[in-house]
Amino acid sequence: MTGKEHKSICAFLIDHRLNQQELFEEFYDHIVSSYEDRPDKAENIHSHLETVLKDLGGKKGMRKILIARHQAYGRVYSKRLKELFWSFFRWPMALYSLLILGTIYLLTLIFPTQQLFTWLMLLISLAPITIGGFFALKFNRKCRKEGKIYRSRVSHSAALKPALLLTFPIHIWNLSVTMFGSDVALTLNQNMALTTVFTVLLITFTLTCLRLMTEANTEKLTTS
Amino acid sequence: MSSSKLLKGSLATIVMRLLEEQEKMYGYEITQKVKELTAGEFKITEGALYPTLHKLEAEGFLTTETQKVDNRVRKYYSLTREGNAEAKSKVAELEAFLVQLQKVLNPKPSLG
Repeated sequence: MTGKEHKSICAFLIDHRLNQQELFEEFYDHIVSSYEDRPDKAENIHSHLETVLKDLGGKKGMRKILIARHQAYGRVYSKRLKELFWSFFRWPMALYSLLILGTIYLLTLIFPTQQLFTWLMLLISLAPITIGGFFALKFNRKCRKEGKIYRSRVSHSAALKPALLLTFPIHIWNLSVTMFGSDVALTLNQNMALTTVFTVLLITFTLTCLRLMTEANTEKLTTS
Repeated sequence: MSSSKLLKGSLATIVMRLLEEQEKMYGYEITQKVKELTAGEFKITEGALYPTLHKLEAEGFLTTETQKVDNRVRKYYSLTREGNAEAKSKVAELEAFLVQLQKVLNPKPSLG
């Protein structure tokens, strides 16, 4: 494999958006293996890549592969997310949940105002997105330093998705309460018991997202 | 109809059966093994193979490990314990289906 051939394969993969680590590495190996194994050694890399594209079902087929890969990771991570979340309500992790519940209850007694919880929830809901972004940035820098072609991982985006999907509406909700103060929202937020339960669930979910991201980052959890 | 279209529905079973035999294989190796076993009659397209592998992996039937080969990363697939049980059941299901299909394609003349 010459440098020029390597570059052509990389460009092919980038052009077809197979530019995340898991996809890039698997398809790079596939193409190199098939190229080395080609029956007609006179065939150059460009015509070989055309054959590869055809076998992959053209641009449409490659898009399907990309979507299927993301969906597969999504399924694995949402299953793991549920496992991690419920583990906070089982021994020994339930101790953490009780500790959070106790702390929040005490806070409601010391600061009996919904404003504090609104801002607390805002801060908490931002944590997974911030940490997920940090992991993604760290990986990006590592790839640049090592001269890798890819800059991101499918697993990072799959682990970040639940945090984005579920904490974002909460974020919007709290913001709208703070800014516009609708009657229903105020009634709900003035109910301290409800606020406590909601805050505990939010903190537990945030911790779940953080654990999921840590696992994705340290590669403990991979579909690989 | 091309053999590829007929193969599509049985692809997961074929992949799992091969992994039952070989313990661990990588994507390209699977396509070549099928080609070799069928003397080139069956050709698994990569466009169908990888989504199948990724789906089986997400369902917990396959596990993967990576190895560095010739300065590149190679991803090997192998069956999990659940995958082994699923492979046996899928192969049995396909065999039973083929028996029934054979009856439909070659009906024996009735004696009565």
